[in-house]
Amino acid sequence: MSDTTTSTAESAGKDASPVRPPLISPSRIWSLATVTFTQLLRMKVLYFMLIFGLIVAVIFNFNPSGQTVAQQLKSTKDVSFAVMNVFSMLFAIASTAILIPKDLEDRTLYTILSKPVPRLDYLLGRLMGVLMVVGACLIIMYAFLALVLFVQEQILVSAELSRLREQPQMDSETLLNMENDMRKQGLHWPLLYAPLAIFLKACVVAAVTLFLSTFASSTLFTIIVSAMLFLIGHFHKSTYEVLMEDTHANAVVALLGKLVVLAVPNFALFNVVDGIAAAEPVDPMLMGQLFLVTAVYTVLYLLVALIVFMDKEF
Amino acid sequence: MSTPAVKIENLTKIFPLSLRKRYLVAVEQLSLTVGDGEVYGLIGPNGSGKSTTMKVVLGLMAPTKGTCRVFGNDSRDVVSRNQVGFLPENPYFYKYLTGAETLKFYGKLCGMKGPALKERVDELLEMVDLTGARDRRLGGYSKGMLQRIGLAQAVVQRPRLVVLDEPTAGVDPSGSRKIRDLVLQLKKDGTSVMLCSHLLEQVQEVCDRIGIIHQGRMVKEGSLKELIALEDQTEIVLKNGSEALIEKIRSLIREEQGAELVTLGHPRTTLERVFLEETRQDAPKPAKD
Repeated sequence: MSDTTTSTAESAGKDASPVRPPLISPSRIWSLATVTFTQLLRMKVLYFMLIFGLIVAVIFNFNPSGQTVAQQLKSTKDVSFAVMNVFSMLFAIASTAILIPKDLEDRTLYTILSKPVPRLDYLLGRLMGVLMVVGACLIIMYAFLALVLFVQEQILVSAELSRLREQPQMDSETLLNMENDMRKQGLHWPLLYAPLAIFLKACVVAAVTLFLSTFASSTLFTIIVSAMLFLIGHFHKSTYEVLMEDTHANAVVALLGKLVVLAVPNFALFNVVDGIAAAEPVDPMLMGQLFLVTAVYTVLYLLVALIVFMDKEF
Repeated sequence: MSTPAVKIENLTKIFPLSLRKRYLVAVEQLSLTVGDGEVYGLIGPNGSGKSTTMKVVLGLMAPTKGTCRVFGNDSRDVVSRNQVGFLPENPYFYKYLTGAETLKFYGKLCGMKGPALKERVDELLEMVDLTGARDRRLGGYSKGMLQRIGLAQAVVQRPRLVVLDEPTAGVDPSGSRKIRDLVLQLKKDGTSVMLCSHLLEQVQEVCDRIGIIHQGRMVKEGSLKELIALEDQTEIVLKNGSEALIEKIRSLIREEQGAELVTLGHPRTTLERVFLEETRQDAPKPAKD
């Protein structure tokens, strides 16, 4: 046995007064986030990317008769964004739901919280790690989609233009307009708003799931309730309108409904992806509002999670 | 007089069992003090309240009544954890991290960074004899190796108090001995240690003071000498004593009023010692037929 612990207590400084750790330490949060990121990556979650690749490859080769070039390009975007959306929400819910119970079961939580780690740092680090994985997955999926869309655009538009040029009545101006119409559905910078909107939605979903996992008794419960809240959140507006208009409703039911409307994030606000896929112009103000909404929901759910987690005994 | 490493006063911990106002008193009016630089052994049967007491010391639980202070700081305050290291029973660290990554992670949690952290990680890996396995993932570590990496993470920030919960549970005698040596090294360095173990022999070997806890209450506490000394008995160990000499001693004892010979025989070594002796790397190999 080596004698390397000799300095253990002396180096610590027996008379050194303990330094109060800052309430929020970026370096500690970053350590927890990178460990979470590594944990999820080494759990081989990126294998899901292969499924995404497979789906996009199938759409690329799927060419139903009667579809125009623009429709084919839009289909690629629609399906890809839908898959990106589903995968991101699945990642956000499943990975967040698994983290705290697993740390508790493996007693890793004991070793972390017995270090000078404020509980807020732990929650922030875990949440950030999950969001880093979701972000990385979205970047990979979007890069793949961009590549496929670019290649598909070049092949389909070239073939279509060659075909149109052979038509005798086709003048160059009409040809240019038709090309512009087709290319409008191709690869453009504003498409980047779609993965961004999906990411913001995933932030809120992960924050809600983190809150649930601070008091849930099982991972399954957390996953099911998170998924339910996610679905309810999409009908936020209609639920609110029904409750406001229906004056004959039972008072208790109405109150409960209003509480749900207040507590559940309005996920319908994030449904901007369809418009982006349809090449509709994106208002930067809308994206700014989405950032704000995401920040408010995430901070609120983190605060409630912290209140529960602060007093939790292990 | 220096501030005690741990000072628990009248600690009571009650857990609600159900909604029908039923409670479990896990620890009741428990008081103990672990002095600075002292190795304190807390022993007791399963369910006696040892783990609850430890969790209160670590701030993982709050006392229902009473107080717990670590180097003068309330154990619920995160500041008290600057000076504490903890090794839980059967720890499962992140199995996808390597030994070096694990220590680096825990070091960073304690605010360490840069070359100082790297140096400390190398030092600790050498201390626990895991330098050769530094880049292997913990998923491939044996039980003993996991306990040793656990001990290394517990002391990564050079804490003044190390809390060990059954540090040798499930470890073979050789690994157990290594961990015991590490605890002795910590003691030599002046680090306070609070040790919970069922292995009484081990507790006896390393602890300065021992507390016996039963049904949440401290039933006996004191220095090892005080607890195990049989004040009315005297042990004499003879080497190369002839039968005649032994007979003389017997007759002398018979002549003494009130004296009684309790045992006489060959002193025995421990099974642990024989096992370790026989399984040493440099032990002579048994002859083959």
